[in-house]
Amino acid sequence: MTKIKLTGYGGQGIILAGEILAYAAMLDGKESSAIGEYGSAARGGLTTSQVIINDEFIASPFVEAADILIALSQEGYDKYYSQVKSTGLILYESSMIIPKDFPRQYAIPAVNVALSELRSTVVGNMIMLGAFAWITKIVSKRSLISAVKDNVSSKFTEVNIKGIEIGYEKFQEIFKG
Amino acid sequence: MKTIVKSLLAPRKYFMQGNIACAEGALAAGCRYYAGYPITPSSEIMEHMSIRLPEVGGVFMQMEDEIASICSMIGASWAGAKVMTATSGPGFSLMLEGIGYAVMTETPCVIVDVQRAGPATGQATKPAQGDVMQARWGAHGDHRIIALSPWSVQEMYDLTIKAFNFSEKYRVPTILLADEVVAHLKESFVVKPEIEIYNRDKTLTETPFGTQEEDGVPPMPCFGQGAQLLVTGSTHNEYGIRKVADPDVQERLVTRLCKKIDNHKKDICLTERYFTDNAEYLFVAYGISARSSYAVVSELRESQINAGLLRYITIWPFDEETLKECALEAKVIFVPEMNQGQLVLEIMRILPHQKVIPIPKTRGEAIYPSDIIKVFRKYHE
Repeated sequence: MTKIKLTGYGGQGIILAGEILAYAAMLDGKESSAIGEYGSAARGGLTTSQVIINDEFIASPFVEAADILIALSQEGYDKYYSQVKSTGLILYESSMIIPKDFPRQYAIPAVNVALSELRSTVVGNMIMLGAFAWITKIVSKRSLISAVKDNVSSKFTEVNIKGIEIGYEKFQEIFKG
Repeated sequence: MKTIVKSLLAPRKYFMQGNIACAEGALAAGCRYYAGYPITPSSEIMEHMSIRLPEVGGVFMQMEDEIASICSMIGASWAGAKVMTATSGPGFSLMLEGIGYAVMTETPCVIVDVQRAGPATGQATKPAQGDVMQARWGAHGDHRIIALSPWSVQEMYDLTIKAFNFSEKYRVPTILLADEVVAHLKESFVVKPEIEIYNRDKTLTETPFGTQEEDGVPPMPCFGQGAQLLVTGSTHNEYGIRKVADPDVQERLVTRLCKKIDNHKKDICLTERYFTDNAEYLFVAYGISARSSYAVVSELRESQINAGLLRYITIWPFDEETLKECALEAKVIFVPEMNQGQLVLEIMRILPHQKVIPIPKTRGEAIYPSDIIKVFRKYHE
């Protein structure tokens, strides 16, 4: 069982990223669940998605101690980094977050890459998912892309898929380092 | 009448939000009228019905408030349709008068209450299980309703269908008592090729409000079918004629309204047991709290601790016999709920000589496995 927490602020696509991830896991033949948590405002404010991927029925869909944290905002990072298992993994957005001590964590410049390579302010989430898929191998890139096709309106499918592909390819050096 | 129909959705695995699965379950069960007023965290049900009902030849109505919503659907039910509405705490309170009217007039209807943190407007986006007793006792006068509690997206679909079936079979308002977590949870669920549905008996009869048996359910012809229908919330005899001062009629009617449910508990009461045989530590839970309890029980079993879970799928009417059976060897019974202790009162009443420990939580958060473990540790030597 893998417990994943994605966090950021409203508008970064945290809830969508959690759903794409869980949906992709289903396409890979696994059981998965996603819970989105957000405040009552449409943008801004702490937003979190709890995703569980398992081989059998998921008893509790809540992520208390996470195996993996994907953080796109300082507030989310600060709130959840201490709840990640010491053997776990953190991926954080380097332009937004000053990290604390943690054994295994990687700085991913997802937002800057989204801006420079895709001229988009909103696909940092997909770039993170691509990076996540490469380093963890928990979901396949193919299923992530199919998940985007099934869940994102056709107007934005292409840019989101590009985000996943860039995230998957671009940071392999960082992970090796 | 029981019948097997094809599912509306193509049979396969889906990844869906609980609220959407609920709406699809309603459509599969034959719901063709929805009247409602949107409220977080139930609004996706209404939104989805507004898109899907016209596609299947149904009628969708956005009403001016929840009182109008329930009254409108009672009318549509008497016009022969299978009907539903969805709401949350504040709207559910407004609907209670209508629910009582539906009980008295024996009108089949399904009400989805996606519970959120209250009282009053409380925390609109946060979960709770605070309406358990309100669902049971909220409408005035002595009465019975049926309430079901889903714990997964699969059950948001399956139990919505069951709610329609019970409602049609027993001519009683049936409440799907969901909570914000299950309603907004996204997970995979399976649509089977066929489902079993129950359509009310519409036989033309002169006595649509009485039966020979004291626990019977009379046929329900609808408006326009040719029956001379008198539908009233006041006490009425088997013909529907008002009898507001006759003690015999009042007694016969109220007795039947209760006994048609009480005497069919074997059919209505659904529970699930996990490792309850000889369980020393018994957890009794429902809805999302049962998911966390199940995680705890699995964990305890791995450490050789004799723990079991009794999950209530049907909350009302309450299945007393199964509780007594599962509690036979229990040293401690834990009841985790997202309220200050509601269903636990029922359990304490039924098991007066056993140690029953409530695990309440009213923080606008779900009960997590760690909340349950923390209390369990205090009672486990």
